[in-house]
Amino acid sequence: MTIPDDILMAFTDGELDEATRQMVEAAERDDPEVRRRLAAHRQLRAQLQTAYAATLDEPVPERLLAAVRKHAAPPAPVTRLADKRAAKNAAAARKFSIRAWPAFGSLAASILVGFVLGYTVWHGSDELLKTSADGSVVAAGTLAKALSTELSAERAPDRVATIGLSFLAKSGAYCRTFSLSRGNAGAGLACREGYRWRIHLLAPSANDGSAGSEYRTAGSNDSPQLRSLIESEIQGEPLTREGEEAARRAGWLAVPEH
Amino acid sequence: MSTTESTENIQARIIELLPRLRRFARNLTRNPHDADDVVQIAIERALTRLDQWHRDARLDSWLFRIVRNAWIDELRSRARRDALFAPEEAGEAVGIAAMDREVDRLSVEAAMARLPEEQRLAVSLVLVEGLPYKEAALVLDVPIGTLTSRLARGREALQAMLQWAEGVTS
Repeated sequence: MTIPDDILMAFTDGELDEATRQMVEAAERDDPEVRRRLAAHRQLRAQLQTAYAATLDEPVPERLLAAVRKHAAPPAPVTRLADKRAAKNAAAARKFSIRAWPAFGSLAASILVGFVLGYTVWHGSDELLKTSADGSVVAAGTLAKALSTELSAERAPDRVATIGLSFLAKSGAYCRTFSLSRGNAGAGLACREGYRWRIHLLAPSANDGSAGSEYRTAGSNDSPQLRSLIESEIQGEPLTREGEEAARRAGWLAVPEH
Repeated sequence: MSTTESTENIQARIIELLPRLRRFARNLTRNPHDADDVVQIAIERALTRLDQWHRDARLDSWLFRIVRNAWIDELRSRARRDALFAPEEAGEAVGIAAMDREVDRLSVEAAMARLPEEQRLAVSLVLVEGLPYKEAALVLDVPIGTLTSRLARGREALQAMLQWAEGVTS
């Protein structure tokens, strides 16, 4: 009698009922072929156990322990933080935008659509955004580096920050869209202001954790704010690869048109 | 909320489970950074949804399931971003390692990484994490028959890869 392999697997997994288990035990005693097959299944299980045992001994990162202990902040503070930052930023924008950023002035109130709480927690020490002394939010760390150095065409998977497209804004500054690829990330627009990249929009990704939402078709509703901002601010067409290379050589410093 | 157990007690149990959650998440995402991110999302979700955990259900299975769902959400949101930023590249496969014939020695982990996701997760939950079939099927949201057939195919593929690697090196 040949015992099917799935029965033998279930035997080594401890999943058989009493009668079937006894049948396999008898076969194991009497049939060298069954012994050989059972040994193979047991060996695989042991190999897997051994290979993955060390992972359990690794120290757990503090941020995960903290996430358990803090009993998850409710959504409300996120909103308050966003409001606070937006207000702070709007005040700064009023101060700075009139001369340097006429084209963006009307957008001051909606500059930061969603500032994701726990941003620095997500990215560990690699802070991607920071608030500068004047209250505006500027790119930092990996994001700033990506904005300054990467071409749109150089899209590599597993990057924290990916550049979407680049364009010259009506204000005369270079602007680049970006997406952040970890955790509660989002997409945004950064424009060159002196030697820094000022964040003009950061829309959280539409992912609210609800299961069963559409998969690929959702691209069109991902951040309508970003799309409309690009449409209203772009001067001509997005930069070509050559255009990006030239802008990069110039440090993304454009002379505003007068 | 479970009436028999304090939140503090559940938090302590979750901390105990963190090493296994991380291990499962690594098999799920195949990337340690993504794994920890997804565990963190899952913890935060779990703690805000403790009322959805039935006290007769296993805490580890419930958390594995939340980790898996958090990863599905993350992949969906990445797909949306990709669609926004590079529609022409939307079909590009990301990191699915094909059988690499030039690899002369295959570790158990490398062999696992080559399994299709559904088989890898079945193997991970049953043979690495030690869940009963019933619990693993719950985590993956599939009938038990589906779970056992994925598990069987995963095992066969792993055995074939590991034997082949032994044959090359010996």
